[in-house]
Amino acid sequence: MNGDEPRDPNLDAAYRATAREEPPRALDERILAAAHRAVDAHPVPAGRSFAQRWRVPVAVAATVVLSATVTLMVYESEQAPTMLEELSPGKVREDHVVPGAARRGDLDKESGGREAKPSELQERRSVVPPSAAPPPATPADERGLRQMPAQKPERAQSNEAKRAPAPFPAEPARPATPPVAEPPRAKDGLSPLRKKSESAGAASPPASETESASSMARERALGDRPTGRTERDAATGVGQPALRSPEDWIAEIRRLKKAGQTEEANRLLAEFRDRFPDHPLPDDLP
Amino acid sequence: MQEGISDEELMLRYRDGDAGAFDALYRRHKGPVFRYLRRQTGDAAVAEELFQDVWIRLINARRDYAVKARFTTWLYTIAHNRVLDHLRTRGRAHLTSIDDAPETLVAFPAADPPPERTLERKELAGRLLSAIDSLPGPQREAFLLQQEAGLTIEEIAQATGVERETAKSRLRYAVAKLREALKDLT
Repeated sequence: MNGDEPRDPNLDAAYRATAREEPPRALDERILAAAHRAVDAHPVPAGRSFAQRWRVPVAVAATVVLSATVTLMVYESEQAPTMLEELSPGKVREDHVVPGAARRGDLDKESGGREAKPSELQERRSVVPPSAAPPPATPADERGLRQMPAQKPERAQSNEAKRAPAPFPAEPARPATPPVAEPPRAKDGLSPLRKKSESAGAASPPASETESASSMARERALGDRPTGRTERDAATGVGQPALRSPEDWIAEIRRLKKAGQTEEANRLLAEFRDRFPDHPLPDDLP
Repeated sequence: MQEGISDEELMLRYRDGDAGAFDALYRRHKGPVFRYLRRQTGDAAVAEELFQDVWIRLINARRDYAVKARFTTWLYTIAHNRVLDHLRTRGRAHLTSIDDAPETLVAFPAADPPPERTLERKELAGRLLSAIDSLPGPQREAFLLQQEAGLTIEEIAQATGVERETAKSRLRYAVAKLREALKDLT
């Protein structure tokens, strides 16, 4: 104990003399029986099937692979026209300056009012740095270059078409009920009150409401001012940032993992374990 | 048999399948945990419900148990979280009335003091419980964690998820207010 700990020996003695309540004996027996049953029954939840055990990890892995594939496809499809455009730099530049005036004739007129000769095209190509240049153009490629202005809208359309529909799953396929909502209950059918409390949990107010109320109340509480009963109850800390719900923590950890921030996710996970030591972790979080 | 063994060791034994270790742990902590919940919720029935839930959670969490801090801090972190869950959903149901306090003492008499002493103690108990009950929630919690769980300021901060200075400040206010409430009796 530290020397700066606020303490009053008289108060300690008075409290010790006062506080003597114990839980009812029936409750003792129920809890002890539950503890013994838990040890007798094997700790590993044997009832879980292979599918149940692997459902979440497989869903997460599939989502990651799918997202990565789609992202790669979009990236590549955006890169391809850029590379081709780099082979005709004049066109690309004009494309950016005058959107919509993408016809080769117009561009050439603006750049000098004359048709570019094949030798000039060759010169322009030779200006492209080797690192950015694709392999030497074949005659077929050259034809393709010349046809580019006509092809580009089509390609752009196909790019749009690739982006617009639903290859991006908006949300990973998640089970209908997240496995982290409540810890596994003892199969002893203990108190009916608990069930009530759990069902009431679904109707709990949004965190933002309780947060603002509780932070105000906390300020009052710490300010050593008299408070009303309701305020005091709110001041117990409901909704403090440090006390966000376990589900919020898990969602945040999942988000970080998904974003590839493994280190941060692990740090948060360790913190979560300290804050909620009794909260079971979902299968996808080791 | 298990008396000289630390809480942490008992919990490790329970984790590894020794049900008797749990019995010893339970006997040590049941009273303080129950009173903490009783005073925090202000309702005996709710306290019983939460009490049961805290222990069931502990039982379910045993496989993941590792000694990272004192067992008591771990236990009261669970209890604190359960109280918060309860308050989120229902709020503090009602108060421990002053009239409840003497009954509590009658139900658990210490010895056989003379009648005038009994009356005095009843009054003290009533005043103290009433004063505790009228503390703001966080201050009441800090006081109870110190008294019932024997937690230090650091451990109170850890169990309630606040900074050390916040926990200390709460405790200081609580002690000052309770001292003030009892100054003409002590």
